[in-house]
Amino acid sequence: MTGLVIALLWFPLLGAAFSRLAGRTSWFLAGAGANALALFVAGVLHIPLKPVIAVLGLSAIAVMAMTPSSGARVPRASEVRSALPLWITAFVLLIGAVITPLNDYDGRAFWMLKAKAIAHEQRIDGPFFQLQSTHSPRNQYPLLAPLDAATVMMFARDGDDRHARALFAMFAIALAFEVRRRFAEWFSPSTAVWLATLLLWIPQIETAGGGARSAGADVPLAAFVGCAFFELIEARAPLRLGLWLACLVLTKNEGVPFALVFLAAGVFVFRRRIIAAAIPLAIAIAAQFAWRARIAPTDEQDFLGQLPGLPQHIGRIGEVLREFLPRFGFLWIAVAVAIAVLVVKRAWRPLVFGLVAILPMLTLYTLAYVVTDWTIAELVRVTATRLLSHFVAPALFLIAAALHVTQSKRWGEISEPSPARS
Amino acid sequence: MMRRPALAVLFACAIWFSGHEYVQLVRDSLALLPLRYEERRERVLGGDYVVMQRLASEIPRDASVTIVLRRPRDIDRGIFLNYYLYPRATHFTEPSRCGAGFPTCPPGGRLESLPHTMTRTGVIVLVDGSDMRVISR
Repeated sequence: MTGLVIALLWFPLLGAAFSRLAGRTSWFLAGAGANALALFVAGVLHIPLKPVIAVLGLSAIAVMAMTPSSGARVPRASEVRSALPLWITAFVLLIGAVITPLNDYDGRAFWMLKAKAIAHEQRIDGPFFQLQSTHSPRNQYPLLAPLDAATVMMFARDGDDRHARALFAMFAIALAFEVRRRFAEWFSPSTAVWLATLLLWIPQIETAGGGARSAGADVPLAAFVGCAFFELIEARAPLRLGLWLACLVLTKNEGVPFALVFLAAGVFVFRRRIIAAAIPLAIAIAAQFAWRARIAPTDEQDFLGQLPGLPQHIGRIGEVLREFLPRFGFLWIAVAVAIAVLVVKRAWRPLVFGLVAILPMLTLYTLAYVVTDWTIAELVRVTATRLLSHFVAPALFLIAAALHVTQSKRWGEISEPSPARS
Repeated sequence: MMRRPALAVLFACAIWFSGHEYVQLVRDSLALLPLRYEERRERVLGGDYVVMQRLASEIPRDASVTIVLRRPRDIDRGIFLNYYLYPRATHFTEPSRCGAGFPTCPPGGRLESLPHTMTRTGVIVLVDGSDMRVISR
């Protein structure tokens, strides 16, 4: 229960303070991102982690006390009633995650082991990451999720993984509520509720192996992809976009190209204001480089190093597609239909946003399968559903845009999407 | 007009693919709720976890542990043993793959001679399929 309380209080407190400064956003996701970003930079600078956590908490309380409310409020009973499917699904998922023990492979082998080590050593470049104590597979994996989990463990004064169970489920739940909030503004409240609920029912998200009930970093990455994507569409707060881009870099290796794609798209959306987003991203990338230069090398596959071999392996593309495409599932059939609707109805703006968020990274993932040293079928079997989960928010956006194609078309004529008519 | 049918079809698909997972989650949660957390882990993670916890209770927290993998396919059990033994210092040895990144190897890769060739003091745990045991202290 300690972990549940911390996940529901600490991260939302930090996120609420961030929202006061940078505008309304998901409290939990902003808090989880700001907490890990601050701890990571502090860790690289050799500043002890516990004092940083204390300073973060005090700063958040000070911001909440000294700045006016950004308009966020506790939901009314009628709003909860209208979103009952979402609340019930979120409750079952969260309580289920808290009650059932962690049993996924990557969560224990890589991510949670790092969290335990950070909580134990109070450092991100101590003996564990120097491979001087414990065997540390995937030693250079980014640390956002482990740092948040370690924070929970430090509060609980116990390195047991049960304390972090709620944290990982909350990434999916917070994304679902952010989808609901955004889609209610842009499309309609009822579409927002049902698509947000659907997000928690998608097999890639719901599953205990790599999904919301695991301790992996794929659902957190999907959450930050969703938030960054929504900032691009809203085109209002480049600083918030910067936080999400930094979080992408610090969550998974795939987050770096994701962040660069969104930054490039952000140049067209924000023009010169994109500088505000580029600064946190640059800090995260620089800190990541500095940290990796200081710790022991990793045992993971060097995808970038294999890319030059693409011309020799391009013949394997057929095998990759044969293995990869059957993993896409019903959501992607709906996305294909949605794309067709948007093309036919000439709703170009939402179509372009959705495709920019999906196509470059989907192409990159496909190329990664082409150049891999692993058996393609085996690698696809193990990773495909997790990789596809990264696109869940843009995928749902395309579906919502197709369902509200008249409103979506108006986006091409006005600078910002207008509030929805239900 | 098409919104409700479209959303209904999407939800029907989601329930078709994930409904049983949610039902199982509720069932598991209700069944596990009365148990202590360690008992839940034993029930969910099975016999390997019980053995790993027994080893963790036998080995002092400040011990240095060498995890010897009897065969390459024992690596997954070794990885989880490594996880549940934390914060004990651990490293892996796989006699059949000496020289391939495993620092402590017996002469000729023979497992029988391993305890006599250890350069580090500490505990040696053999992972031989589901049979995991301390073979030297």
